[in-house]
Amino acid sequence: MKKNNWFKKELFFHALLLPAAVIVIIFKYIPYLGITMAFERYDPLKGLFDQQWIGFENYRYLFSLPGFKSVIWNTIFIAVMKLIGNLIFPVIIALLINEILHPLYKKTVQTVLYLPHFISWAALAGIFIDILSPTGGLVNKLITSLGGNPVFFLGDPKVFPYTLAVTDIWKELGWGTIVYLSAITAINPEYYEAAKMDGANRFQQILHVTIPGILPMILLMMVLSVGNVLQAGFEQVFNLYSPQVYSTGDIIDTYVYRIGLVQARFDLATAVGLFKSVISFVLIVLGYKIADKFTGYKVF
Amino acid sequence: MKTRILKGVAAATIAASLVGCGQSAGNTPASSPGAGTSSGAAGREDAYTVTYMHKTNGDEKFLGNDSFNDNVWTRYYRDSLGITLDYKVAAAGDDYDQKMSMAIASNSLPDIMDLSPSQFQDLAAAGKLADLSQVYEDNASDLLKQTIEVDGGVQLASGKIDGKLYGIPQLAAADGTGDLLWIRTDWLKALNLEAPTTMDELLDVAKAFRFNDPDGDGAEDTWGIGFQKDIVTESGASPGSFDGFFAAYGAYPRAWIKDDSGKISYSGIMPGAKQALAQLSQMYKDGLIDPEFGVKDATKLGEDIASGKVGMFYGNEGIPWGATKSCVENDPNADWQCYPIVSATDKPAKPATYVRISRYFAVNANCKHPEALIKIANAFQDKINSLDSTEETLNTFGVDPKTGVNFAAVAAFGMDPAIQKCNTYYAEIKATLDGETTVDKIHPEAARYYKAIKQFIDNGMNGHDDPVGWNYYKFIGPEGSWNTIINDYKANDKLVSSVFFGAPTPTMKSNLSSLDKLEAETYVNTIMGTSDPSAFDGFVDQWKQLGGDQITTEVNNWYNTTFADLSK
Repeated sequence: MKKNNWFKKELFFHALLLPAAVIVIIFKYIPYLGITMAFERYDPLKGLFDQQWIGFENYRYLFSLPGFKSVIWNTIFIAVMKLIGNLIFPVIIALLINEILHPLYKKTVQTVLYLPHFISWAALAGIFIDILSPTGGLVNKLITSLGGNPVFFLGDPKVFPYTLAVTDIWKELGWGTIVYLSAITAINPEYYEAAKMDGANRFQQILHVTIPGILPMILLMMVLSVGNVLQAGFEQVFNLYSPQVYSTGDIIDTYVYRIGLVQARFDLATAVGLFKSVISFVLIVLGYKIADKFTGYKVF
Repeated sequence: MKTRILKGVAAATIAASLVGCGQSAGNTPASSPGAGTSSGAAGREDAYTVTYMHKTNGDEKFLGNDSFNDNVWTRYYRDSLGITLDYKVAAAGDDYDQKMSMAIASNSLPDIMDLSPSQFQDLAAAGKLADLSQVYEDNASDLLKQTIEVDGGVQLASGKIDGKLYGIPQLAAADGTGDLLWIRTDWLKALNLEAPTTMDELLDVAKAFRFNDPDGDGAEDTWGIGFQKDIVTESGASPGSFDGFFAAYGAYPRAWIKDDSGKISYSGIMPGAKQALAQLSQMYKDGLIDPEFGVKDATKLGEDIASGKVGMFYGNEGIPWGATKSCVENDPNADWQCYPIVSATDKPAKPATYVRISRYFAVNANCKHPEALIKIANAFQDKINSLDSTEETLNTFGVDPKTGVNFAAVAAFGMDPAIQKCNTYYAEIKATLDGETTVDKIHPEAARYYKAIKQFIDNGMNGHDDPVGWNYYKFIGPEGSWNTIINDYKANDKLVSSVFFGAPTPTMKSNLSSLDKLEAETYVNTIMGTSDPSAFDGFVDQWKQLGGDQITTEVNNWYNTTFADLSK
């Protein structure tokens, strides 16, 4: 009897929730049917349900492709470098920006840092080819004027992955600070006042108030980004790489793109997508458990 | 509770990465039928409507309120042919490809459609396309047949499967485009050099351009010869093509060449390619080639050409439109001239030509009026390509003289015999310049070029003051690229055609991207000295093992079946 009452009381709220639930089901769950394409010899001329089921054949094929393993390694190497860089540097920059007192100067710095985020890699690639040129590029002019040897950032397979990481971190630096800056404003000013009373200088305030204050946000960003460990950035690599750096710069996405270029292989693309999703899923769970265990911090 | 939500989030992440291919589902026709389309056709008894999915260039322009569904051409089809052409989709590039893929996947094909070679082959094999053999015989005008079969029916044959015609190929330039050697003549003069006729002479010129300061600014800031990064490509990476250089050794990085015995083999693994790479590697070592060529695409190389850093490169006949024109615009002293490519052996160097069929026009098997495709295609020939067409027709259906809006670009199934046209115009312009005929007797379009060229010659041939005149003169004038192609390449039977232009074969689909990667890496590393030229032999073995041999067999089979009728 009591149970029935409870249901009646909340029925209205469930009804409010219904449209959202329906949308999620239609756009997030029904497309799950498409996962089956990863296990089929997919022929677009036939319907979704008349395909030839081939099990893990697409995966067997992918991993039998010559050089696919080195491609996976490249992907992880580049992505992990970016993950770490994109985690550490925005925090440092956010802390520095937060210390700027002059409001106009602060806004200008922020805006200038945000700008690269909005430039597409297609345009940036042309700029970087010029700036990083071993003959007459700005960066190499600086290196040679300091007595070093010019570095072929985009053409030397040993250097190329680091070039990718650095340019990506530079591009996303300002954008990454937004979330930390907002977390910093959420810190209760009383903490700073208390710290000042105790005689903490600015550096000690950062160390003992600001950083602990935004730690939950840093951890959240870390957990969320761990899932991107196979996302090395198609647009960037595609615009910057060339055959001479294939050995270290070719990633899963560019490799599959080149296969897809010969013919639209929906099945292979889905297989790769699913492969990446499963690994991301595992890593997110692991990352979350680790964050939970060491800091006691829970997102859910 | 905790874990349940976590699962939900993770599941959403998976879904998010999978919806990629479903996103194109929300496609709406790029243009809806125009308001005024129904008036004229209604009166005719035999009037009918056909739907059409069209891949555009993306840069089409219209007058006033005109659109794809309502313009000078569609009104003409409706009023004169009684056919209302209803563009269901008119989109460019990947956007169109996605919409076509969706239409195939959802089995909602229009009556007439533009198909990529592989889509065409799949649909024809699946029985989704109408057999056009009879329709083409009965309806195609003589002019249309003449235009389409200008190459002896080779390209049309690729639209046939088991002897039945399922699609009309959009004609590609068959044998009129090849690499030329473009050189800055002002640099040649400054250094007292002649244009090279052999590979050794080319090396001398390259060295002089690199080290003897051709631009006279006192700095070694010029390259001997310019290349761009794409070696293994047949998409005409120009300027900076490698094809012309490899041709000196009788090889081509990306061509399928038929030998005297009739067998087709891949030229990229031939011994000539090894020699070409060894030579390039030596040139790289000697500092003649920009060490950054590997990261510079044709556009980037074009910037170097325009800014006077490069004085020699291989490129096709269209070069006067691009970087070289910017170069003469920038530098009052600069001038460029094309020369036939040079040979490194005692045999003449032969440039390769490629047939690149971008699309097939095909008709749905369920369409009641397959003849509409041919009838509409006839219209373009009558209005634009006919020798009878007057300046007035050209102004109405071709290019609007006031606004420059190109109506011809929005005509459906426009078959342009570009090569034939250039040949005719070149001959007419030359005859007029030589005083053998007068400007009012030649084709109006040729007359337009003639006037620009004549003005350029009369004003002292200064490209800096008259870049447009320079452009036409260097293309179709007496010393233009077309002159070299006709009077050197074609007259001496020097053009070699790459014979494969079908849809990718099964092994190409699965293995070609790995083979291309292997080839591109081997080539670039050899040139840059990171691997020894002898590594080429290992590459050839690997190429053959990784499916190259199988692809060669498939290419031979394709050739023999496709052209079985022609050789009879």
